[in-house]
Amino acid sequence: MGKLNKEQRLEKQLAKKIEKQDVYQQIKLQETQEDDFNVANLIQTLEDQGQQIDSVKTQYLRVQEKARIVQEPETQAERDQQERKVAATVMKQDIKKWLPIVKKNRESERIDFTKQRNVQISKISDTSNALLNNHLGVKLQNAMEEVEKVEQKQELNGQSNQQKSNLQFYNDLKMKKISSIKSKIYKQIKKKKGNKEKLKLMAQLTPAERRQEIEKLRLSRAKERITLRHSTKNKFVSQLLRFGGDKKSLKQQQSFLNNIKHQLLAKAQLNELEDGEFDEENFREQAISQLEQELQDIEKREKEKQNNFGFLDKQKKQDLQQSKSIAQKLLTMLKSGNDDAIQLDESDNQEQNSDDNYEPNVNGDKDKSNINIENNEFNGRANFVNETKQLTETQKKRIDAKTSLSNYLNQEPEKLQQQNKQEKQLTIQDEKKQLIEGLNIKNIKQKYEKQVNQKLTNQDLKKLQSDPDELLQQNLANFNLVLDEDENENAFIDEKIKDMEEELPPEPANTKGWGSWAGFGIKEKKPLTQEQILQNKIKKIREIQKKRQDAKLDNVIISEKRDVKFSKYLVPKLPSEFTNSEQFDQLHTLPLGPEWNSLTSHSALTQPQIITKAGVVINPVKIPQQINKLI
Amino acid sequence: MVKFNTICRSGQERSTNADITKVYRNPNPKVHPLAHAREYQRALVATKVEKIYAQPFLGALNGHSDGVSCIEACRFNLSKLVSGSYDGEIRIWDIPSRRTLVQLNAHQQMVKGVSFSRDGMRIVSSGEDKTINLYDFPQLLEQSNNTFQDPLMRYLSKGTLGNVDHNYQLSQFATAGQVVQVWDYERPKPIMKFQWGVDSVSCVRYSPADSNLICGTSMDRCVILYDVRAESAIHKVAMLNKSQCLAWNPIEPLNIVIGNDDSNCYTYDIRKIELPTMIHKDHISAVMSVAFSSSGREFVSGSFDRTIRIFPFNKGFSREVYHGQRMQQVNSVSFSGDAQFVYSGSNDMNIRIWKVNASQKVGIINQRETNATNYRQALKEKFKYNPEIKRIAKHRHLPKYLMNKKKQRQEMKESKNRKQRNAELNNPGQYEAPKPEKQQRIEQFIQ
Repeated sequence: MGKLNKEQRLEKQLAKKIEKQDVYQQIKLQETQEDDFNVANLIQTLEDQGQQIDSVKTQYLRVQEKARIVQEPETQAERDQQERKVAATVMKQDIKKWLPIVKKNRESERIDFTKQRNVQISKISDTSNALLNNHLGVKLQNAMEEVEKVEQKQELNGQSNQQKSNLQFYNDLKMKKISSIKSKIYKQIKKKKGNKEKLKLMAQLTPAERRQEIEKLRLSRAKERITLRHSTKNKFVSQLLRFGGDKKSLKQQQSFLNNIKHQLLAKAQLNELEDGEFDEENFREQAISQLEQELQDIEKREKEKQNNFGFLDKQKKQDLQQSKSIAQKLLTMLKSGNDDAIQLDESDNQEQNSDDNYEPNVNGDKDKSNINIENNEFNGRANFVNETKQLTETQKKRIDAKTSLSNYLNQEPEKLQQQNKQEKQLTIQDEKKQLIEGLNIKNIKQKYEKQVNQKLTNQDLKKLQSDPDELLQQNLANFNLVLDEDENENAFIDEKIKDMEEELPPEPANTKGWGSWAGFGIKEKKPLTQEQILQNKIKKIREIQKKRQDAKLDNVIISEKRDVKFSKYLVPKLPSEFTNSEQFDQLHTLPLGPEWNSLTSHSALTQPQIITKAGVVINPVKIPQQINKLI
Repeated sequence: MVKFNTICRSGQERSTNADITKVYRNPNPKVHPLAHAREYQRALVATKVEKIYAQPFLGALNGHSDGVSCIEACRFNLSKLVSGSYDGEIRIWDIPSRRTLVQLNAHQQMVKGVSFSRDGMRIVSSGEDKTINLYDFPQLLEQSNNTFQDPLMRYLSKGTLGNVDHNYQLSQFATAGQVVQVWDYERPKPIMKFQWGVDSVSCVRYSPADSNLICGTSMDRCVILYDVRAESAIHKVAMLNKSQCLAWNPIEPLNIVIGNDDSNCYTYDIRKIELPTMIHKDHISAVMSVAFSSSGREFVSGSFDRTIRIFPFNKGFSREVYHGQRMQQVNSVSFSGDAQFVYSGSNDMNIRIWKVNASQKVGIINQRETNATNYRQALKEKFKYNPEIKRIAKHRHLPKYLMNKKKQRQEMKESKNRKQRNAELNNPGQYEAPKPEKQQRIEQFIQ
């Protein structure tokens, strides 16, 4: 063993020596004479030190091992995978150039593909790539680039072009305005100017040419005279020939005439009705008798019991006195037969009207206009028409709506009947009008007015004399309904309760055996009595009443039902694209239509997101040249 | 009764012709309380009118004596279309006149793919007979009577071939098949070959914006991305079903759409191809072909279920479905260059022309009309969430077999979900939360 060990040691030592030499030689090979500082020198120093040479050697061996691993041949799969990795990194780098374009396209409001150049001279030449290397190909490309540059410039100039077009438009407008000036003086001046210029031109011409020019002018004038085209083709003239004037004005005239015709006819019909039985003297006598009876009535009323309210009595007294004085005046006038006196009275009446609270101006105007027309057309009858008017107006003053109503309510129906019988036709009419107008109840008023206007011809009036109460009572019934407050309140409460009852959940059918356990030893439940059911119902209604918005409002019913009709405008669920409802509502705040927007904003709002056009080829996306150069 | 004498001026009393009376409107919404209701009514009418005037089918190109296997619209000329059929015939069509310009007996077996060059001067076709033909388009038109025209070049492939796609910028084209090959016009042999795995690639497409990128779908259910500059593919993703077709988004060249045999289309972002970004559902049978609109906002898909569907690029469901009584399985679809028409080639030997917007008028449209349609579209867009309008706009008449199948699928889906839910409820803690659907469809991502 010892020998072997010795031999091994020797061998090792030899090997070491040899290796040392090898290392030394290798390092020597690397060193150059020019360098003062090299590996050989370093190792020499190490050798001098003696012991550290071993560590250097081990380090060297390690490096060699690594080199061997690197140089070792790989499997195909490994090599492929590495290649793929490299390719992937390259591709990912390469793709990045598209990102800004894609982002821009996605974020832009709209993409217009119609602005792309339609015809593209291809870079794939007719035969092969070779052409690209030729002069022709290069020239073509250069030319294309130049064209592109020019187009870009044109786009930039677009704004200035628009300005020019705007200016031209304004100029055109100006010229139009000038051409449409109608003043004669301006035209004369213009004509003179034109003539001067023409004369100047003529002066420059030779005599022969001048003659020709003059002949031309004469010819054209002659032609005009012959054809008269300018006059017949004019819109105004054609309408004048056809309709005898402007079409619109003619229509207006016709309609105006028609209106007058209808009015006249209506009046004539009325007159015919009256004319049959109309006598001036009779009418005067009637009027006098009416006035006398009225005076009697006023006296009666003055004697009647007074109301509790002092102010009402005062007013009543005043009214009665006024009406009394007026009636007396009228009586004297009628008996004397003075027309002038009546006219004087009219003016008094008008003044009184103006003091009145009850639609004074309108009435006054109406009367005036009526009187005027009638004075112009029917002179003979003017007096009587005026007389009747005065009578009515006096009564208007006499009977205020409130007082009359209180009268009616206070008096017994029998009394009422008696009174009505005593009253004449006209007084009845007006009193009714007063009643209705004072309360301002529209429907009944209209109804009533119709009856007054239509039915009360002379024959009807006669009928009314026999039983004048029918109409009045009919209408009073309506008033009573409204005036009876208790009934009204009750009805309202009933309605409210009904509304609440509708809200109650439907009661289950009370069939025996259903909804309960069956079998031996089970006690039967007693069915609820009617009272219990009612009480339960009332409890439920009270609960509902508390929840309602109109719980504390006695005279109000607030319907809390949702309107089904409106639901079609609503979206049941928030679409997933939106995070909250406000964002979604933003969609509907702005209407798009031309009625609610200016035309420009309307067109801007309704532009589609992607604009394509038939016939325009859309090319695949391309990187702009400037970016391409940078890449 | 009160009668007023109103002051009125007739419109004719103008001092000048230019003196047009302007109408000033108050934009305050309080003054227009009925604006919303009126616009709603208009939107409703617009949706109904669109339904009434929807006539998507424009016409058919008939002439092939066998099913149409592939079509492609010219990328340069809007009126030209090339189609290949199962009997090896290639036809070039003039769409406006709807007649064949050229008829070629190009291949001895089925035509696998046809493609136009970007400038419209070259046509490449690949057949099942392992040959690739390169034609000069003007020359073909010159000798339109000769059905046995010799191609400009004929390339022979060692392995079987799939479809062919022409590069958008260079004079190169790529073919699918056992090996993905990239060819140059001038060289008889492929300048580049890619193979990854044993199974062949069914479809390859060049990126329209980037001349180096190719995407392919393989028979081993993978979607593979290639870079021509590298010596091997970049990466691939394996799905549950195999994909037959794919299309690049020409405006966003990061996105691709894949038509899968599980009747869905998938959108992938090539930066993160591990997961699809969107699943487009609606077909009930395998998707045979997809094509992107040149506007990049829509794509069309033809399916084995005898329908064509138009999908928005960012929506999960289709916007439109087209079907015909006589239309059979759709093998190929293509978009016109101006994004206005869709062409479909089907097994019934016909090529059909469809409008992209079913109710759009074909022909010259004046400005007033376009403004009106724009307003209608804007209203529809505004009220699209409204239930009534949504219902009307969404409704499409479908044939019985489609409806039944759809119902059946819905039931299946519901019952599956119910089963899953019940299982989770009855065995709490034993089930993990289900994976999202996008993740479920992916089997493996290989780098």
